[in-house]
Amino acid sequence: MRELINFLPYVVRTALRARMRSLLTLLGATLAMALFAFVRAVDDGVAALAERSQRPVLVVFQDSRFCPLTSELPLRYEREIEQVQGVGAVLPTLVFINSCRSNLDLVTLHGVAADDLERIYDVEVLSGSIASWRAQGDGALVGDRLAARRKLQTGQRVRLGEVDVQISGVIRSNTAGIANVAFVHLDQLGLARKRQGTATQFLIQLDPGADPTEVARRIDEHFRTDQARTDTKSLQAFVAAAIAEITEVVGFARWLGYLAVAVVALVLANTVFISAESRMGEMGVLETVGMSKPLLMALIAIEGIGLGLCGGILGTGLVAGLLSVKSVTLGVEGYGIDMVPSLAMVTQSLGIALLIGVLASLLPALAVARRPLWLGVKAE
Amino acid sequence: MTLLPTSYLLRNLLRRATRTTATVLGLAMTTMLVIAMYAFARGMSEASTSNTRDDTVVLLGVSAEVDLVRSVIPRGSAEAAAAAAPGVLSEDGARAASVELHIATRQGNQVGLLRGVTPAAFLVHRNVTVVAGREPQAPFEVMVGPLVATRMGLKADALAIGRTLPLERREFTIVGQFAAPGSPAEAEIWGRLQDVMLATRREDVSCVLLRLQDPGKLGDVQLFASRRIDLEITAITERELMQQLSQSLGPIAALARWMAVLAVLAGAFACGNTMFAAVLARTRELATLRSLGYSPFAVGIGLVQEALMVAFAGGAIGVLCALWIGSLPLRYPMGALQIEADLESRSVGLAAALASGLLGGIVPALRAVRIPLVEAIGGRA
Repeated sequence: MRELINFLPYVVRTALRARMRSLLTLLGATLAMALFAFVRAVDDGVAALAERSQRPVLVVFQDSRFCPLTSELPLRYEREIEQVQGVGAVLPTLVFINSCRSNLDLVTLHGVAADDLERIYDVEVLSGSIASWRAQGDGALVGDRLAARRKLQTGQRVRLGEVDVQISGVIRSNTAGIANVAFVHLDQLGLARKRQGTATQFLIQLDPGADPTEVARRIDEHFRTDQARTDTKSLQAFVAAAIAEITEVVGFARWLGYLAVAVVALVLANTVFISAESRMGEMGVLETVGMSKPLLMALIAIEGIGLGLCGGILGTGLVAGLLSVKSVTLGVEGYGIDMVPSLAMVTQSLGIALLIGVLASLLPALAVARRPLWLGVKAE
Repeated sequence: MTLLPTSYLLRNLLRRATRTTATVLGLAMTTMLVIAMYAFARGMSEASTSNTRDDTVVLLGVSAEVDLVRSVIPRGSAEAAAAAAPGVLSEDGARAASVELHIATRQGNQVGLLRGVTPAAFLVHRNVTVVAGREPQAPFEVMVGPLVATRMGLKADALAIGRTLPLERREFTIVGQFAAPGSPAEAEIWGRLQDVMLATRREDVSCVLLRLQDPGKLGDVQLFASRRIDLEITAITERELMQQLSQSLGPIAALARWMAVLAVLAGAFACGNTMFAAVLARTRELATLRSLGYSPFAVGIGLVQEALMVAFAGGAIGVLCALWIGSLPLRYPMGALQIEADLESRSVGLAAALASGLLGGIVPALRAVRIPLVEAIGGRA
């Protein structure tokens, strides 16, 4: 190992000697790894949304409805739901989203009763206060991602989803989708959207020990013949249904990411192969002066691994940097898939870069090991 | 000026078989990436806008912005608008005015797009053709588009004529299959307006589509919509409506295009790399060619030709692979599309491969011809 480390400057000099070749390889690997890292960011965003939905909360939605804009339940259901055994707290929510389709500028307004918000959501206030939101009829508590994307600050007066609001605070929550939500007062949103007396959904906090499936069944059974039939699901199942809409697109992008990785592997293998081939004589000399075959193989491999890893670092860094500077959220059915440069994404991308570096170096290194000494010396 | 013989260039490529193969494979994958991304981006941006017409006008509820699923018009107002709007085409005494209800309905984790129509719909949607069975005539009958299976995650035989489809807690019988090439309607299920209204407990409709005698009548319809304030409707051409709807998909298509550009650049670097190595390894050989009388330009052109040959081979393999994979059905929010390696996508893929070859070949070629002859013969690159 020590011997190998001693030879590191030699490997670096070798890469720098063929500057253009190394640069092209590096750029190719950087771009393809950037593609892969971006796809990973989308994938991680989907996984994070699903993970954040794992809460003991039920969502009562209108039966067979797809988008929040089309679900309409009478507000009076709240009182009846509260009577169902196992129900702890109920939060009627009127939802307005700027598009049921996928988009990159999702704005979701949740109209809720001011006093009930904290009964369901765990909210951390980053700026402003919940008290000022309660006191202000046109106040809005904005999720941190939405605030970052729209550059919103506390005290600012803005138009969100066709409703004029004043930002009372910026919040963060561990609940799925809340980062891209603006909480407004139920009455204000109902008036603005001509939906007074109705709610899009009811969020239910269960009593400790209550069986979610049984509670959901009871609620749906209760409203089976009422004005609007309900479909009650766990928050997890509800979010999973929304994510299902985008699953195929994400899966398609994932395959493109794998293809990009395969391109990097081939470019890298080609470079290492060319490098090893063009230094056949030099290798022969090194072997003649006593360098072992395994060490020669390692020298070849280090060049490939180094280039792959550098490409991985640059590509992943590029994507991580861009996603840090520009907040990107893919909206689907009112839920935001946040593309955030996570540690997992960086680790996975670098791991893949390392792996393709090793794989790409394998064949050239083996070719060097199998080459008879006399052939190398002859080349020199 | 004498150029290097093609057979000589080809032999050179075959002499470095492993290196050439790796580059060809890299470019083949790049080509596939470009074809996939281009077809995806085009499919997304054209899913809503192709086959739209300027002589078709959509009357929406005033507060609907541009979303058909959100639009609400009382049935009476819609019927009145359909009967009274000026400039509407008539065929055999029937007005081309289609009152429609658009519903996105959920079945478990799948979403179906259900459209309630009247017989007038076929006068407006000229691209809709019943390809098997018939259009819905009896209660709770539907016909399905070719992308419904993709949209709802169903097997094709689940949508065979005679099968039933549960929608909105009703069993609808499939009586026909239709095609509407290049239109989002291909992912939809069409039923009779009254059945869809009954199943969804709706008393209002989404829109009225009018086919005009000529696009110039649009002004008359807009004037009609603005004067009849009692109807609470607004008029917009179908093309404009679909363009606004497709704007939501625009950023995703743009992302795919940028990814395609990245892939082309990565491919160009791969090709450039190989050609650089080829130039460096053959400094003496290229110098000998110049000594024999080939001009530096001819030698440079030869190197670019080599790069283009590699690129063409890679591009051709990529195109063949894309053809072999065929079309991929893909579901996206509130729609479905068929990603097809059609002629345009294949041409873009091949052009991208050739561009990679050209970009990757020119720089090494310039470098090769710039080396002074004496130094090159001495093997100093």
